[in-house]
Amino acid sequence: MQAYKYTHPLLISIILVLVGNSTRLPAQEIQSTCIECHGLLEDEMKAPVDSFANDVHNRPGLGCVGCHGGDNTSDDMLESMSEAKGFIGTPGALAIPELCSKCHADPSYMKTFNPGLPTDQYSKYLTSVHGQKNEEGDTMVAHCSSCHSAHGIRPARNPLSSVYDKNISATCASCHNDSSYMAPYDIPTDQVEDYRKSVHGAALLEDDDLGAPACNDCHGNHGAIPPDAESIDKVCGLCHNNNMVDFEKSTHADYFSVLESPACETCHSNHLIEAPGTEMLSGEEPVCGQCHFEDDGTGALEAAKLMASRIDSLENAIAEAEGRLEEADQKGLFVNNGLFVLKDARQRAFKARTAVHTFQADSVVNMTAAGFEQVAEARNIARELLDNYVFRRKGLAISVVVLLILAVAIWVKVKRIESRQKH
Amino acid sequence: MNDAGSRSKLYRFFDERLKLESLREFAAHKVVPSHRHSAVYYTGGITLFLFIIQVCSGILLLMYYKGSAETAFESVRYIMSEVQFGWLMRDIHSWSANLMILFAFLHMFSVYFTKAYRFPRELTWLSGIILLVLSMGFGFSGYLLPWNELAFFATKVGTDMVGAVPLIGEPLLKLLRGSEDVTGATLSRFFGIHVAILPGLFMIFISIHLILVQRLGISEPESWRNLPPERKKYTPFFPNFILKDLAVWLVILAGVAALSVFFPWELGTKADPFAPAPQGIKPEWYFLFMYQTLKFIPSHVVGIEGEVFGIMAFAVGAILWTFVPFLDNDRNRDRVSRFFNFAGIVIVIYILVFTVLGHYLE
Amino acid sequence: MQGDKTDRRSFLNYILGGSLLATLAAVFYPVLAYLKPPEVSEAMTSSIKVGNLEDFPPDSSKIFKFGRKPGILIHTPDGEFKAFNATCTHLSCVVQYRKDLGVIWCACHNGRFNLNGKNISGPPPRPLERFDVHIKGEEIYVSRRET
Repeated sequence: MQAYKYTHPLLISIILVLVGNSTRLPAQEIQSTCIECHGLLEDEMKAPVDSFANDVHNRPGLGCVGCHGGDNTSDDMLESMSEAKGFIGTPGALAIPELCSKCHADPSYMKTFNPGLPTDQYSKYLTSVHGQKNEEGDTMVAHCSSCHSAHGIRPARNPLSSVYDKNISATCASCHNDSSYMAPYDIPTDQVEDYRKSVHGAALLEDDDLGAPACNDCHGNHGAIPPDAESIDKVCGLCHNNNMVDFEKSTHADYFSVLESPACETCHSNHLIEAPGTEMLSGEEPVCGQCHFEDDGTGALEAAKLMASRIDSLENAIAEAEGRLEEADQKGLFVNNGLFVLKDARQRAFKARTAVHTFQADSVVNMTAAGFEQVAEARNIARELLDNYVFRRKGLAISVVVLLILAVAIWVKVKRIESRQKH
Repeated sequence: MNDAGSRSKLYRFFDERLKLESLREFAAHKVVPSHRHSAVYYTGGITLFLFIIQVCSGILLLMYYKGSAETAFESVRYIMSEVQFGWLMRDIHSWSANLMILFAFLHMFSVYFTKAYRFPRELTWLSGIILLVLSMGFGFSGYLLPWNELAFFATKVGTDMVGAVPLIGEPLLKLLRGSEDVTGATLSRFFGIHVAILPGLFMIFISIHLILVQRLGISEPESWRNLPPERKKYTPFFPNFILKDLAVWLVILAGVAALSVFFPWELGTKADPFAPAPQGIKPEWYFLFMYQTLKFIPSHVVGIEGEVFGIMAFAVGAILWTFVPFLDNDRNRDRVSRFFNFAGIVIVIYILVFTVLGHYLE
Repeated sequence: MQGDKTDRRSFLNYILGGSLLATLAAVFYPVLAYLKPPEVSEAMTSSIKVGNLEDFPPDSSKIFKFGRKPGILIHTPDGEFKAFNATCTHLSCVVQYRKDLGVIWCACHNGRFNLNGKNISGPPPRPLERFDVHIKGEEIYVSRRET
């Protein structure tokens, strides 16, 4: 609403320019004395001009005065940057969230630019740890431009944006990875490093899987708060749905809740989530061992070992069958059918791993049983192929012998005829 | 031998209608010279036999093959995986194709070095050259038909060469490919060429070739020219030589079968026209010496583009080679004759060296 | 002597005749086997039969093998037949039809596709490849789409 004050005269001036020169839309803000003068300055006085060229707000109706106020039509510095014209200078950290919210929290105004954009960022921000501390007057915590930058703001889907999926961990790291900066807050500073080593970080940053989560996918972006013990399985369950459903139905859900142990995190940790393996169940230090001990009456460690052994042996059987198919493949046989069956078996092994979260050994055993059947089928296919290979060689040997006998017999016959012709 | 009186009624029936007796007369008098190098007389027969294998296995492959960009690769995979002995048919067709070209070359050079192309056999040589060109056309068009990655890019590289021909190159390239680039249209075209146009032409020229061989008899070596008739030894063509031919053919058939079982041809991955060309794409071995030569020629020779120069040089060479019977046809000019022997040896060495280089160099 | 020679000749003739027959068998056995149509009757995956109409009440689905990939046929609650490539576009798990949600769902990371194959939530970056469904009498066929 306040923004209209700046935009109306601007719009008129733009319309005038467009009428005068309708064929060409200038790349920079039209007729802006801000750009004209600051473009002639150096260093930090000029930097905003350069980065603003690619800013999403660099469009008719917004521009410098949209945030900073003032009069961009006057080339008199005293007038263009006078308080009388609403000039506010550089807004401080404490003022920025409210300044941005003037437009971004106004649905009807945002509709005129980008109707698809939510307008709840500011209200969410106020609930976040960042927002609350900002309200309290802490200038060190993140506000809008800490993450989005001040003059080079790009939409989150733009790969060059500081809040693009693949860039967001670096953006968060710029504060959260800096132990001296974070010193007053008494929280760890290794989250981002841990995240980068995790399955999620590797998938997003190395394998370009944009579906893999970045910091904000679990913590929220504007409403950034660490998920607590009660909500963590919902957060993980966004993607790992079956694991969540299995876990919530299991006896563990209640006990974890009583013990105030966070659901997924207790076994999988938080930022450094590694690709889970059966060693978590049956290794030297099984994660179950955090609470369970041998002969504790629940049979938990034994059940864990059983689940691990079934999954391991199914995966070994799959690898073994695959090896046989490869052997057949190298002999020039067609193994596609076998590979197709194995793909199914692999899916079963996958489901069996998920079924671990029921903490019922039976459900894992049942799931692997179906997988073993498919492995047996694949092995059959491989055996048939290899038998076929032997059949080919035997058939060839017999045919070659037959052909050569006939060839020799003919040759002998010719010799006979020749010797007869001589007589 | 039995005399005609005791022959069966059946024979008489056919003899009266087909005049078999005159054929028998002809066959009885047909002879093959017998000397140290008689083995070369088998090369032509082996090439013919391999061609017959090609026709038979090709017809069988046609039962299941589907020639379009969407189905070609899948149908070949189907032949190799689902159809009983389909793998054998495809491997035999591929191996026998390669051996046929090999034996055609052997046959040609044996004719060349024994100077069997001289009067009156110039036309036999000419028809033979045409058959060789057609065979290479068979090989080139057939290579694309499985529509796998290797074939796709080899065809691309191979047809690119056609585009370098001066003046007619561009339209010729488009005519050959059926479009600007190698596409499904090229596959349809090559399929048609491979199973209809080339077989038709081949049948015409192979008939001419064989009729000429029968009309003119089998060539005698140069060294027999001044030999007294009693020192010239002959083997009857029928039944001796034809039976020996048959025995050799059986050995060749066993060899083709063994190669097919022990060295099956890979199918690879389906051609993707938009994929980047894989490393080390090369044409088939019988084009390698030309391919390698073109790679060695600098980018510009005497003011024209290297590739164009190379192709023109090959064209001139091929024309000279084709008309060798007319250039070297005088029995009394020994120096000219020796020059052609020498040139032939140089060409054989050149082809061998460049084929090996082409195989091993990147 | 004479008898010995005749014996040898007839022995040779037996060998000749026998191996000739064997050779013909060695050649024609593979040829006849080759000509016998294989069990998988169509040369490949442009179109396959998935099942009969009676096996698919509305709101049901089936995973079928289409070439070397799994496909999914869905009889929607509206009575339409739809078929897709059942490989999730995220990490290649096999998707399934969830009656309760009315979506195609991937168990691996909770990816969801609507009944037009469009990715509507979760990690999948692209829609599922759509196949064509043809109904001939009582039989349901699925074929690859012309591109």
